[in-house]
Amino acid sequence: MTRKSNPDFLNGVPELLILQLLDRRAMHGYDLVQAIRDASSLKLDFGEGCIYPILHRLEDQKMLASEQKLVGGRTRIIYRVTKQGRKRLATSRASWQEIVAAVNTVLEGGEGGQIALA
Amino acid sequence: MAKSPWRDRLREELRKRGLPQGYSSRLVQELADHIADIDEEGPDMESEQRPAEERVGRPESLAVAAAEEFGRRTFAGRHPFWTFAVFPIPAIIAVCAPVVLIAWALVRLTAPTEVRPTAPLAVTAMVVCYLVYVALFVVGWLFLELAGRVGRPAWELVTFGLLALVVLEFRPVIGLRFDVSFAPGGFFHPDRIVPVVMPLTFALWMWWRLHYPPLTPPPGAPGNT
Repeated sequence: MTRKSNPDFLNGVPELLILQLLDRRAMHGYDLVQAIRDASSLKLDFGEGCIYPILHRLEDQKMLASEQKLVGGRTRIIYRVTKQGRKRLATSRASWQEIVAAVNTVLEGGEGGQIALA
Repeated sequence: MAKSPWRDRLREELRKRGLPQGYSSRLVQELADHIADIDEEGPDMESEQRPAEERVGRPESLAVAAAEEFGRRTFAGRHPFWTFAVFPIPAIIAVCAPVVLIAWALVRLTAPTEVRPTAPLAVTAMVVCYLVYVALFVVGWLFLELAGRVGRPAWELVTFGLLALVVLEFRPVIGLRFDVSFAPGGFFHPDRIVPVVMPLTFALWMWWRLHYPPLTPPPGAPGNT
């Protein structure tokens, strides 16, 4: 009755992007937003500030670690992925690939998803 | 400073949602740094020269996102139904059981052999009745605090609704010999109105305070010209 549904996963898309990009290199918030914009060729448009509450939650859940560094004359909070974060990234990526494959199957008229023509 | 009104509005919105001071301060600081970075970056064709605040997001939507993410940190935030609608029931039992036991012991001490009602017995009976209400209030207060801490202030209403139901259903009855018992039933009896309305009114008042706090400038707000 209480099946885990996709909204739970879809809410995790920003988290997936954050973990993926921070896994490549440690960054501060502004850098990360630029990285998302660049990596998605500006296709992903969002309130840039919304990234910070997610970063803070991931840090609280020990998936990210942060440290203060002096960058460009200002103190910055630099985030990096922890071992636990990498595990989460791996499961999130697998889930994402499953969802994409399932959606593609439906869009391409696979089993149960055939378009009925009147 | 041009950013101050935006920052103050954000602080106010975060406060409305009952987020802890330390969490809010760090968020506001990081967002202020982000805006400074956008300003340093200069006009950018790709960002269509949108103002920095617009790129970062409206204070209201940022506060909503912050409260949502803050809530997801804890079990209570992720499972508000269990925390605020189910767990209060064992909590009520756990808090009320010692009160009833103490009351029972008090009655035994004050009326060892008496058949006739006595003044100490009458006082004990009154104390027992009110102690139960105090215990229920303590439960309500604990869950109220929890709701605020996990950024789920609206769920306190559910807990207080539950407490009101308990008060409605189980009422302390003082017998002819000042013996106290807890009787079920009594729905819609006129003497139930005050004990039921009290917790609900308190919850609504707290909820109102969290959502519509008095508009005062935040302490030490910088550069409000």
